[in-house]
Amino acid sequence: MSDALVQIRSLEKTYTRGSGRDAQAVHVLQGLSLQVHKGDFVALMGPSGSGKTTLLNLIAGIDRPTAGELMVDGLDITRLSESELARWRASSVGFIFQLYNLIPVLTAAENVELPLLLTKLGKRERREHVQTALSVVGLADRMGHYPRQLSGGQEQRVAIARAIVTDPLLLLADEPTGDLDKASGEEILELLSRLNREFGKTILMVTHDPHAAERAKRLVRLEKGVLVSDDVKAPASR
Amino acid sequence: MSYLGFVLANLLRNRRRSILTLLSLALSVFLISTLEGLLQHVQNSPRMTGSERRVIVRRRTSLQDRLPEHYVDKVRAIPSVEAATPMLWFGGLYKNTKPENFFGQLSCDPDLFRQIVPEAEVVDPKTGEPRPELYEEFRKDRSGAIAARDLFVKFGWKLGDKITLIGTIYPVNMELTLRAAYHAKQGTDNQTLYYHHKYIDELLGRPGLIGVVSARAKNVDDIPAIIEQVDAKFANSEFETLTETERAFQAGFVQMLGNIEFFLRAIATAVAFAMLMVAANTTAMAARERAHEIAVMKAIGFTPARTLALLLMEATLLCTIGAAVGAFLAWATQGVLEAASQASVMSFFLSGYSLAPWIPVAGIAIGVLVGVASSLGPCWRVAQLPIVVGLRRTA
Repeated sequence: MSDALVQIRSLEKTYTRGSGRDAQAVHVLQGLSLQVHKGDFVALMGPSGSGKTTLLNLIAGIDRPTAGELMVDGLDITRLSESELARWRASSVGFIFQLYNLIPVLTAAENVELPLLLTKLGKRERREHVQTALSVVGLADRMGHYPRQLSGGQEQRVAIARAIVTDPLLLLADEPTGDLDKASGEEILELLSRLNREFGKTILMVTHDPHAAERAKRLVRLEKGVLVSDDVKAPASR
Repeated sequence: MSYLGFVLANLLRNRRRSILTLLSLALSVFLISTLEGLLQHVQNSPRMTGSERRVIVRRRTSLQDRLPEHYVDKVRAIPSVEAATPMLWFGGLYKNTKPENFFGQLSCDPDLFRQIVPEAEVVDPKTGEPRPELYEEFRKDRSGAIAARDLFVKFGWKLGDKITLIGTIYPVNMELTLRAAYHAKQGTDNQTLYYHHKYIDELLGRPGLIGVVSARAKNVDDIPAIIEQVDAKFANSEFETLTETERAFQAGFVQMLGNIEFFLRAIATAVAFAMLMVAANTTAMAARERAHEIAVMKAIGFTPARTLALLLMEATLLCTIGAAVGAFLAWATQGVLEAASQASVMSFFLSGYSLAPWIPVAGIAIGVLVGVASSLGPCWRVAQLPIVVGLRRTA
């Protein structure tokens, strides 16, 4: 048995486009197999429509595969109910979106605290966790700021703090630098690298940007729902 | 941050919309509570309670048709009747035709009036202190009158003042001297002036006709038998009677304004429906606008049930606050409404108006129900929306 955190075998995802006679099956993922090990930092690349985001969504448990096996930390998440899946996501997955997706009416601290409301932690413990997470992303001094009072880079760092505050097994990032300028994007990539390097976080990152992908330890390429390459980079090249 | 804090933060997201929705709900509950309060007061006012031992005998054909005066003696002759008095509604104008000058004007037998309406305490019109000796002044003066103390205060009357009532139903004017004042805590209204029946009978040329007979039973349990006996006594006569309790008589009198119950309930129902629509529209808009955000919350780990609970809590809290404001307004404006009614013909019906405590409570309960009912559909739909679909919705 390998130390694979994510184990995917013959994964398929098919959407139906249109309805009635015009209904058309779209095969987004076709028999994809992949393993992600603990501590990996994987960049998922590929042209638009290649199935990167769909794969990320399936691993995150926010979408369901049509066929195949998808195990995360030994758990077959395809067999979980909606509620079980939600609880699993709350404890095991940190999701980082391209557009940050912070709640605009909550402060940075409250946004980070949001996933902790789903835990049994008390108010004081939640506050400590929030402070730690915001310190890790370098925004301990912006706790009371609302998203509109933060720059794009800062918003994304708050989103990362929200993703790591529950100390999940897996961090999933969908184009985390896609909406940022170069400098801010660089800061985010450095932060993700640090989370992987110093805190041992397993990260899967979807990106179009080859420069961003260079930060990863491993580069997986998809085309038309099929895995076309899987390169583990030598430490010196990162 | 707590769940309640999160819900409040979301409520304040679009302040203008939340405040407008809250105000419309408050106004709706205020209207519903006030209308229901008015209805309850008119149908079951305090002046009607305490009158259980009185019956009113009137002409079966119409209230406007008169009865022979000797009917009073025949009613008195029934063993279970303690006392009976003739009554005639004069309906005259005081000063002018302005509605604020309207008040009840009824004749009575001054020797028996206190026996029939014992709850009307004779008081000093200035201080309101009991002054039973004044009643004798009224009894002795054929053109004397006893009026509610509220009328003394309203019109600035003093004992001994002479007032003229201009006949509208009858072709005579009545000149009366104010001899006494009464105040009833319950049982009878505080908006009426009573005068000697013999006086109006003389003015009208002794026609020997009366409006109604007001009779007091020796025992409340005798009422059904009295009603039966009176109507049986005059059955198949030229002047058949319709006897009913004073409460039923007054309720029927109110009905002469029209089907007021149907009218008020129809307005209240329409207002409640409008309230439901406003709340449903607000919730549907809020839920639709936040489909993306709700998908993000679910991606973070919120279950559909928890998401639904938060959304329902938000809508219900808004409706409950709005309803509470409306219920408070209805409660706080009772006095204002009664005071305003003094300037209209409604003063006769709204005298002593007060909101029954259960009405504001029911208003708040309606708010809660509206909150849940209006938001369940939209919130359920958005909470059940697949996360990937929600995430594709424009943020």
